[in-house]
Amino acid sequence: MQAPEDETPELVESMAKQTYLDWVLAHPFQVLIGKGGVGKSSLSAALGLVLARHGRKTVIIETDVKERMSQLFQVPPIGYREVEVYPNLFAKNVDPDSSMEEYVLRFVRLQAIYDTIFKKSFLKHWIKGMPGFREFVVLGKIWDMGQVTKGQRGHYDTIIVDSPATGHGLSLWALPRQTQNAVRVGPLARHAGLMGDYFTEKGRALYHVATLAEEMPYNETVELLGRMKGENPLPLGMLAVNAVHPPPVRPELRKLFEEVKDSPESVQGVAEVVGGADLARSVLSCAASQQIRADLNAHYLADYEKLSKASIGLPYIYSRTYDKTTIEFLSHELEKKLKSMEAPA
Amino acid sequence: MIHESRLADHIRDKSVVICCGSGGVGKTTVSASIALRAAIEGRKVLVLTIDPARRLANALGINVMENSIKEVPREKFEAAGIEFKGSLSAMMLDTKREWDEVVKRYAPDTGSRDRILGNRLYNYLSNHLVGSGEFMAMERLYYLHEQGDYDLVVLDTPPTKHALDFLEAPKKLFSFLEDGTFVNAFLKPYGEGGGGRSFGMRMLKMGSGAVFKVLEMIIGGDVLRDISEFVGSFEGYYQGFKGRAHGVDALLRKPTTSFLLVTSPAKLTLTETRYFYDKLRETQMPFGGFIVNRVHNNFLPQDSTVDPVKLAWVESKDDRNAVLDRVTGAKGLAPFGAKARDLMSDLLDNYANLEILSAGEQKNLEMIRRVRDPREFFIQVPVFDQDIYDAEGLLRFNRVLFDDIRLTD
Repeated sequence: MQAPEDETPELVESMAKQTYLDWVLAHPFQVLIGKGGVGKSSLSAALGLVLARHGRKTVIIETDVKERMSQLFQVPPIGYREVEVYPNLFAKNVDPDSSMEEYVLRFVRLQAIYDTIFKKSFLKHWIKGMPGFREFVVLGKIWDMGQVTKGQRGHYDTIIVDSPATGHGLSLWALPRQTQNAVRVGPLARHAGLMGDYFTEKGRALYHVATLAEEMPYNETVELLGRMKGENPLPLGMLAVNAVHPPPVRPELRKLFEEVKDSPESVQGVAEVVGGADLARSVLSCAASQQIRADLNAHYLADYEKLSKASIGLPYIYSRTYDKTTIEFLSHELEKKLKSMEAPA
Repeated sequence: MIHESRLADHIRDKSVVICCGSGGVGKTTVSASIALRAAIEGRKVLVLTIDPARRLANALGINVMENSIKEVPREKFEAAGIEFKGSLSAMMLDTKREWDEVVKRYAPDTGSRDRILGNRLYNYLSNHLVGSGEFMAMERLYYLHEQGDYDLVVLDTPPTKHALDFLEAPKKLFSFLEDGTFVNAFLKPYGEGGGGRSFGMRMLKMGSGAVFKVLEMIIGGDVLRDISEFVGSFEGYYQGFKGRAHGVDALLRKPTTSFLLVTSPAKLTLTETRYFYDKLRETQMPFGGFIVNRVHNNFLPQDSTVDPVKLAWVESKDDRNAVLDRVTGAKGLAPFGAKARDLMSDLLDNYANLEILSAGEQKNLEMIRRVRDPREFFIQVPVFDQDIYDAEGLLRFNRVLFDDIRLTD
């Protein structure tokens, strides 16, 4: 295989230690999982950018009606098409209806028959409401995309899935195995088996956990990691701790800050600088509460580091609008961290 | 001390409050807070949650694995000087157990009940069915309503996408149950009466052979047989499900029911909130208002006339340097020498960061402000220095949510 241009020549590379980034780059199927609201979509996008910059043709897959990639990359709604949102980086929204149509058409081959059964007959409600079937066809489509070999149309070096929030996220990835157990025989069981293998194989699949450096997300992450090791283990990637607040003042000035904050004369001094007592109090209390948050985050970040060697703290981003430049910034932070760690043994 | 508040007024004559919103916005905290306030005011309250954060569950005294109603221990709240005139109970729904309970509760006879509980597909579906939590929450909500043991039930729903399922589930269930063809086609096609006839034959007789041929191709004949057995074993339940689905729909539309939307001021979350708001309007559900959680407020006193957004140094680093030149002249900072300038520089950067964030959030909130009905409340709860996972935290949150203290206190 030809090495991408931006990598060191093979000889030098074999001498240097493999970084965590090299290891991540070698996985063709990656998933972001974690509790809702921790920034899985932003991290999927940032990871996508890192991979794309390193020469991997990458697609980010969402599975929700409410797509986020088009908003983050500031492009028109993406839908079921594959749209290049950045050089070498694509996005696609794998919605159940389109996936189902594509899946079923492989069996019946005739659009007219599909329409009769799935759009007009009494079965349409039943099929749409059939437990797990919609999720199953979404997974089927993702699996399908992973089967395209290099050189063929529609091939991607890396597929990234922005998974639904924890509870539902995990049950989604457990669905193929459970379906296999529940139905046992027939085409459905066979497909489920193939999917289950693809989604869980070490060396191919990598599940990155996204979280926050706070009490409740920490507890949920401990539980999530436990469940990932459970009956259908999922290969664990990085533990991305998002939105870590930086301390308000550089560490060597912390003591000075405490002194200033507590002395009326100094507060008066701050007021002279910023132009007013109200504003001075505001500036100081803003920094004080930022300090509390930063300390809290640092505390949990240390706890995460005990849970996983691949814990990565990513900074809280102060921006007026959360968009492409924010994601670019985040992707560079992520890349720095991934390069600074060693690949797992 | 309890002051009057618009939210408290709104809740007072409600018997069902449903908190909806995207993941990670603090729905569980808001739900628990509303329930707590009503209990303090003397009502008998139950907070029903599907997937609570563990520590909050502990703070409320709910054993996570149990599917039963627990009274929340008062001691921790009383220790903080809060007296309950009423009572507060909590329940965390365990979907699988709730399914089992529903199957037992409405069993037409022991035979059907045992057939279902022993069915392989049932066990798979009741455990893993996506959206099943919402369905069971409604069954429970309706059951609680019928029993009439509580003055108020507060429901904490799962994240947006599924909360929508929650609204649509009764309708979906309907169209499927009301369709006689479906039930006729599936009930006992292989059962006692079916003899040795193949599924295909039977369907052919019904004139839908092609349909089942296709299904057989996709899913497999044996699986269809399993499904048909499973559907058949529910025969005695259909009327009940149908009746309750009607009942739930009516309950959700009562004027004593209120939907609340919990959101964060982040753009992506607000997009989803907006989507859900439109959906609630479209389905004509009784809507109370918005609770925006984790807002970065500016740290100025309420009566201050300073507008931080208009401060040049917040926007521009150059202007900040000009401000820093004043450090040398400030007497109060003189003892700290050169370090004072570095400190002030960090403090101003930090303040500017948060002001920019805060201004951005307020701009994002326009998405909701410009479409909302002025009769719907719009409450902003500032971000706390620490997250909320115990009785004390919940009380602090409560005071702010119900505006008992000024935000800048």
